[in-house]
Amino acid sequence: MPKDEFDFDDPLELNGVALLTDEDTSGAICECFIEEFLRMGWNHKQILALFQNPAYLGMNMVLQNKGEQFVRDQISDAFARWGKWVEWKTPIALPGSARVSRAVVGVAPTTSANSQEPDESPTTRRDAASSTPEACAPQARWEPIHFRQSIASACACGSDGPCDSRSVPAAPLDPLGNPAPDLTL
Amino acid sequence: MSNVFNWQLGREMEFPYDAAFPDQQFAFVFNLNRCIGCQTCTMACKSTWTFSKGQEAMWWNNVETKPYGGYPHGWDVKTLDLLEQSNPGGQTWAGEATDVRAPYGQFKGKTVFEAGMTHIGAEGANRVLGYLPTDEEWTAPNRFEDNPTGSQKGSKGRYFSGGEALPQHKTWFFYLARICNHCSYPACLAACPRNAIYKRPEDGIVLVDQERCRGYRKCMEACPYKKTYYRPTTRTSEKCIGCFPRVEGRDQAGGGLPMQTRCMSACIGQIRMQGLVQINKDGTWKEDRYNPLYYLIHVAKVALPLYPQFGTEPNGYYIPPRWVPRPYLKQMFGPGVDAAIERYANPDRELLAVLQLFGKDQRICFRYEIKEGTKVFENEIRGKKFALYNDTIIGYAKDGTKIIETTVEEPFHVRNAKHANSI
Repeated sequence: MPKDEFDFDDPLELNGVALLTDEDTSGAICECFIEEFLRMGWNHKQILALFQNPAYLGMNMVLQNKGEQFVRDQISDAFARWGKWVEWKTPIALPGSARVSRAVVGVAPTTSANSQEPDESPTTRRDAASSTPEACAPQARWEPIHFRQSIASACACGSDGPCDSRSVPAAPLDPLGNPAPDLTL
Repeated sequence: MSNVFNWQLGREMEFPYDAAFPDQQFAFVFNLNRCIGCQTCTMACKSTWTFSKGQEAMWWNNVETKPYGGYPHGWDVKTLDLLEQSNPGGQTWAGEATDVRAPYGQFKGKTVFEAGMTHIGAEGANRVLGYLPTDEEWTAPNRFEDNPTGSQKGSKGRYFSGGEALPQHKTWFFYLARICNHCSYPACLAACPRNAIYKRPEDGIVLVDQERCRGYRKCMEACPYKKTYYRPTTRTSEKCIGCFPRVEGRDQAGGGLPMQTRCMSACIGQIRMQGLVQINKDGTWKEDRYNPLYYLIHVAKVALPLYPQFGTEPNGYYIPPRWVPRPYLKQMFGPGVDAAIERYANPDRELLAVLQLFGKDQRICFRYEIKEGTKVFENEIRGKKFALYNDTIIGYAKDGTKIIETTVEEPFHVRNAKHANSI
């Protein structure tokens, strides 16, 4: 995308597009993406990492406009509708939301289709990974999310926010929480 | 002009030739709720078919950001505008949706063929109403959209700087992936003065005969989707060939079975499904209840044609994005939008299973079968009762070979870090 100013003499320059901007569809796009990834088997932490990643423009747009608490609430609600219980262990303090980020509707899944092991549910999977929650510092305040920061936030230790634990490798993690490969392109 | 029946419009319409339908028709469904605009499909097509000299600005498959973008620039807005000028205020739909002969009601306006008849130019009435995009409009796909660009020269092992500072979208948008729709009433074919464009009787794929084409570009002017391209090195027009060797089953990877096109197979988001559907003598779809395309388009009605009002009866269908304002979607996909989104957002047991077929195998799925599984949970979603069953869906190839078997609650595998970038 060109970063310089518009050149109004450029016959190809796009000077304006009429849009139906009065409609805020942030909630709908948020809900849609959560459900799409949820259906594919992603857990709540992995989906939140996508919203935090500026490379996913549609999802990141919602987070930037509405804040992370809004996204977390939407994730919790969507998981609850699909019968999955989500609990955020590291609630973030964001302006404009005092809601406890915990789903209160829906029922816990009776069985997990992918595995008979109850540990496969999103919540318990995260719980199992975060055996040392005290090692993680919760995100203290809202800051603009940088690409590398957002990758690092999907920490393997189970934290929803940035982690300063020495037990976790310093290498950046991919959106699935794995160490990002060192690419030599 | 002949009178032909267009089931997408629910009525007869004018077309320069008599109706002639293939035994089977190439068709596809794209789920726009899942497209992330990664352009993997675009590059799969480019690296297979259009990598030669003279094809630089030729993108048989492209993904554009709507509503800002389009390739060529403004292709749909310009055609819609021409139709509106031809029939001011008259481009409307009416009537009730009925059966397969009028699933979206009836279109009361003018198609590109009908509007062309009253569009008198220097050579008399046009066969098709259209316009020829300028060279500039073809040359830069995704210009002013959201792909990172820069003036830096790339180098090995280094990313472009500033990529993380992409412009932030302030409002709704979505990605629209497009290929040639291999229309049942192709405007390119109708406009060709050389009869160089033909529709294959075996699969309905529309091709340009390179021996007959003389590069008059009437097809480029006529195609409302702007999916034919001029090649200056050969002075002929070229277009998407529907990867016909693969559809014929001649790609060795398919073991002799019909395969989906390269763009469908390469889609990492699994948003695409392509197949062949049976066609009746009158051009409507023959009932084939367990063909996944027939199910999505005529039973569940979640997939809708792109700009059906153009009148070419395109064979590309889209599951509309849920978050986009309805007036925009209705202009793009017709009056079936509300019902499609309602159904997609509140899927029933069969739809949830069929959606799992997308992107699972390169071979074309001709039939599916569902084996009932256990109930996972019951709940209420958006005021409606919902129950999730972990059914198993099985897909079969043309010869009955089982090619897909998966469950609604798919296993989720994460490749470990050591092999994250290996094949």
